[in-house]
Amino acid sequence: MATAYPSVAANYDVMSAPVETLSRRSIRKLAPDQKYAKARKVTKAEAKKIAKEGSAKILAETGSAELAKDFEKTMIRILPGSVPW
Amino acid sequence: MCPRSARFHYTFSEADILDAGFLAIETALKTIHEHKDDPEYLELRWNPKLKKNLLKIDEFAQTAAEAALKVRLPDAVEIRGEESSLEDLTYRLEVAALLDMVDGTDLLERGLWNWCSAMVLFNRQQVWASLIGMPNREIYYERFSEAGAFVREPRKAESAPQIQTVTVKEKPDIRLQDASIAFYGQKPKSLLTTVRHGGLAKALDQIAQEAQAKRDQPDAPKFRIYNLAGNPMMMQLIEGKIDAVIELSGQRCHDVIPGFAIALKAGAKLFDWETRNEITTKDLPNMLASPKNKFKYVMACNEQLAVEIVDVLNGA
Repeated sequence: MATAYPSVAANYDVMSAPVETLSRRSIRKLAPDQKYAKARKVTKAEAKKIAKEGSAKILAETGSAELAKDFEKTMIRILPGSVPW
Repeated sequence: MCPRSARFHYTFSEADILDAGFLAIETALKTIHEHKDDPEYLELRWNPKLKKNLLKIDEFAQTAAEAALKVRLPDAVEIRGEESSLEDLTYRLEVAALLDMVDGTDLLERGLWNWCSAMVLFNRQQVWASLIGMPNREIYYERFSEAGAFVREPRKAESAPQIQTVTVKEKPDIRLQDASIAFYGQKPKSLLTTVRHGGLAKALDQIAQEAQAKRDQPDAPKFRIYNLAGNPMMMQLIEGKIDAVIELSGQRCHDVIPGFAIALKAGAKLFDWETRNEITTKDLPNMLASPKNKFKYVMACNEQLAVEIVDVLNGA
């Protein structure tokens, strides 16, 4: 989608775009404080990836499916949207 | 130079690496705050792979941070840590990470404050970034391309987080007898190693005698000593609450290097007290090559105090 990338849409407002639609190159162009504000956001998909990656490790290390599930639930609960503290 | 370094530098920028570090630290801190008051997460569990007892909260925080790094830096990060592995690094991947997401587990377990989540991201040649997340959710950090050190305050609402430069508070005239010193002494061996050290014991005895003699006078020594140290106390040194952090018997990389990197960039002075050599940020990549390395050091708010303590420890 052309409007998702500033490099092909000169007037596109990077700061108002959801971070998941920005290319890595356009995120790098942001000033540091803007970058942190944008790049801190964790999408649901990214939270799921973190949850799956971590629960697989816990399962492999401990053999406890219950512990792995608990970890996965914790990540899904605390991560999406990276809610400000 | 590593023949693959050109490709490595191209894949992830310093900003990407720092960004991944922030996510990992935030994820760990969130995990800790989510479970720190639940007794179930503060019970020791046997980890058969690591062959050691771990708190469930420790295991969760470390795993969460590792997963966050792997998601933000896919197939590019080699991870070491107290709760994963302390084997020597291979540097086969673009970024190496040394983590201790609950540095001060026993303190967290007891509801005491001197714990932190610490991380250093580096390669064979340089430290890309070091981050220390504090219990109040402030994150101290430094990055390769900037000379100073910074603190990122917890965000409020949807606004951008506040980032401020931090510098060690200037105390040009401070001497040991008026200083606040911190050392790691929570376990009997480390406590006894410090208090039984000949040079230090002699100096403490002199300060005690002077304090007794001048107890009603304004110039009585203001010396204080605390048996809490490591990365969290180095951040207190930056803030001017502590004047020196010393370690006589040696602490591992993950217990000190994130704090070294940030405090040095904030203006602290650091010496190997045995060799008397000054340690600078340029020395850190070599120190990180083997995560099992231990360091005996004196860190102080200025060079004069650091040298005075090094002299005391060497019996000068």
